[in-house]
Amino acid sequence: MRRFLALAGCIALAPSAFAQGAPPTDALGWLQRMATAARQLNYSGVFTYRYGNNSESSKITHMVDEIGELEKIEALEGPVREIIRNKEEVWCYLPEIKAVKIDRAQTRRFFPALITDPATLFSESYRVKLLNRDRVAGRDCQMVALEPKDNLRYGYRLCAELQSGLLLRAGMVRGRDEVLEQFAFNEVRIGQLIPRESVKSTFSAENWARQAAPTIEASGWTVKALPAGFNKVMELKRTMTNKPEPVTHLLYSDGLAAVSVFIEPRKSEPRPTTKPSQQGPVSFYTRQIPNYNVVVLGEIPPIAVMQIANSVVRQRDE
Amino acid sequence: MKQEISALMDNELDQIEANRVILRLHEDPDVRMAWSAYHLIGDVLRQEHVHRPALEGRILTRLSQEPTVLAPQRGGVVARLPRIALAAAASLAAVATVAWMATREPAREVPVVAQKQSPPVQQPVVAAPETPDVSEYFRAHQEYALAPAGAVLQAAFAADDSRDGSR
Repeated sequence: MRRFLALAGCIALAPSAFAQGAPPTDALGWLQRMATAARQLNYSGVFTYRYGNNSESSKITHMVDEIGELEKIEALEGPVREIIRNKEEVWCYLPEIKAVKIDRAQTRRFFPALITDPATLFSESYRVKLLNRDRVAGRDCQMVALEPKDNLRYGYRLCAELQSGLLLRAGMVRGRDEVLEQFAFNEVRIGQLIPRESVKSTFSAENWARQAAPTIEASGWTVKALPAGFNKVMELKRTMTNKPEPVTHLLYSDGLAAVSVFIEPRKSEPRPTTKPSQQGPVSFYTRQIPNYNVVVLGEIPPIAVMQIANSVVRQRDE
Repeated sequence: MKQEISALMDNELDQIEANRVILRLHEDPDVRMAWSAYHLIGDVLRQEHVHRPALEGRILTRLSQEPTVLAPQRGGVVARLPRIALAAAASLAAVATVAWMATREPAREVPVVAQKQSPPVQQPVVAAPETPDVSEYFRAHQEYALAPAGAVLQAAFAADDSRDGSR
């Protein structure tokens, strides 16, 4: 009976997912459509992530019913790995080591659900522009550009399927057209029936090791010169290698770019501060202050991680 | 419960009993704290902080020989981070595998070790560098960055690799 109800839910939802009215004529309207489509449609397909000479393909199955969203992502290369995401939790299965990690769903984002609701938030940090049409995974799509309003973040090129608005390709770009990283569907089905049962994990995970998410905890640390549009997503205490004491982890995002600030107690003498480093889309900078190392890294330009690191202060010291 | 936790640590429970205790560990923060405390006490009593199977030691040694992170290359303004994300997928997963199972630190995030472990082998400890370990921060960040399933999972598990002071 439960199975039947779940199916009925799909049938009821699937057609409505397409009933989003005529395609929008403005860029922000397209962004909003991308945000909605990725969460309210049934779809499945294979997408590839690329950065530099690296690439990795994953299979995704996403369904919605009266209970909510359910999503399964399977890594197609390397060791078997699987993610099951519902509205509250993200379960990461690693059968090779018989382990499962459980995380909070609200802080995790997966392609193609990159655009958060409401899309108008993006106009604070980016100029949102409608570009030409393109074709991805054999489907026509509308290109939308997000150009950064300052030099503290990169730009994005998005392509949304014409009929449904589902994001088919997303690239992070530096300058005019240097693609730093990109997600793109190779093939995709949209709007079909997907029973809830088919989005369950392949693994029972019985007797597997389980790891819970890090503790959420206020630290009293803050970033004074946060680039415009960035907000704190989360504040954690993490236990890390080599660190006798837990490390504070502050996570900030402007909706697309994410940056992490780590504050790590240090007993030794400070060393000279180094230059920022960069690997593909990620910049990294470490700064030593009395008794602490401040480590900042994220998908933003080196100048931005430096600005953030240099403005980390403890609130009660002000 | 205390006795049972102790028995679990010593691999003295059968599968059913072990599962029950593990479930409690998962649900009850107090039980988790006891679990962590017992490990800490055990480590202090044994005058050691680390148990590392041989394989993990070898992989970590190899990782530690990878390029140093913060040295700028070719005089550029921006140095390159070591290739730690996608390229090292297999080796990282391997590290995560052995490291996670071998984790014995009082970590709130890792309350449960469900598998019966083979007796740990003591390895020589490599002196820990003073420079912050970039790859570990990178992986911690990756958990929340835009990344494909593979990298996300890798990050999720690798973030807990080698809590053993070997790099």
